[in-house]
Amino acid sequence: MHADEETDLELVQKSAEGDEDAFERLVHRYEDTVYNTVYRYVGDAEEAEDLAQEVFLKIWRRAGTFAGHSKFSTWLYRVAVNQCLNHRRKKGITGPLGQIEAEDPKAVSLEEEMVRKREVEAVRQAIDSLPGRQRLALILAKYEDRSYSEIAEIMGVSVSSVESLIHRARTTLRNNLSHLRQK
Amino acid sequence: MKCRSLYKKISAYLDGEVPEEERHSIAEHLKTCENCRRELEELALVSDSLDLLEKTSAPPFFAARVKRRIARCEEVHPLPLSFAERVRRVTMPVAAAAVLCVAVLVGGSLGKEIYELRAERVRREEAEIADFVGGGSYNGLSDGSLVSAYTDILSAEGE
Repeated sequence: MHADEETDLELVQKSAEGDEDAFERLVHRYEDTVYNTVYRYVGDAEEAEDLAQEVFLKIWRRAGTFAGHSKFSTWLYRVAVNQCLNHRRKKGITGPLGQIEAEDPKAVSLEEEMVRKREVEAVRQAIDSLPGRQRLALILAKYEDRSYSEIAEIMGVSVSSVESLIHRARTTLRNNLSHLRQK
Repeated sequence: MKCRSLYKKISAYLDGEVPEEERHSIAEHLKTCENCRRELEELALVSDSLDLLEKTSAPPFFAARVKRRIARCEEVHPLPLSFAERVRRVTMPVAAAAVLCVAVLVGGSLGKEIYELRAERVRREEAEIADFVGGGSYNGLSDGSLVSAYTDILSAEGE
């Protein structure tokens, strides 16, 4: 069977049997997804990679427990979410996160690039100001395009809780980003 | 729909996460309520601001580093065997030993039976020879026996 035709469940089952090549294919399939999620949460590339590696390490060690009753991506997100929440708690990080340098191919001058970087930083800090669960719910909805029901399953909460988390996140961000909209 | 009810649902409405009939009800309310329209517009602008954070990719050779990390961790903390693997490691040798025992027993029984059948045949042929040599009749000899073959040859030579 061609590597692209293998289902997630097949790759997980092979990984559970110790097939490292199958696991590597699984990592390739989902590395961007996991990395983006944790990167948006922690805001630092080095920290994000460390966290993303831990997520996959957990998946490797627990591959035998995945029975395929839910989608693999849901399970993967759940591990990533828990890893994010535990990571911040362990590090005792409460202050603002690091900055993300976003390249803007459309910028025509250094000044515009500087303005854009400041805006990106402002958005990053605004997201950082959100409580962990609101931040994760917003990341999953906005950046990972997960449905509310899937987010509920990932985070182990009800759909109405997800609605509430995302709404509170948005209203907080509205207050913190109001200066951007005044331009 | 009242403003208070809409307020709780407005983010879900923005994300397309309300059922169709509720969506229609909200749309109707928004046509007539400026406050709710403004609220929706402001939250939509927040979503637009979030688009400033562009998507990124995992760093190069990420998968290879994951593999190395797993190898390092397993040196220190080997994975415990799963229950299925522990069962397999016990039952497989036991099953193999059981199959071997059965094979030995069956083989032994078959061998014994074949030996006894052959022994019986030899005894019968010896008895026939003894009868023949001792002046016994060669009528009623077993078909295919050595003695009957010998007598057949003798009979053919005599003709």
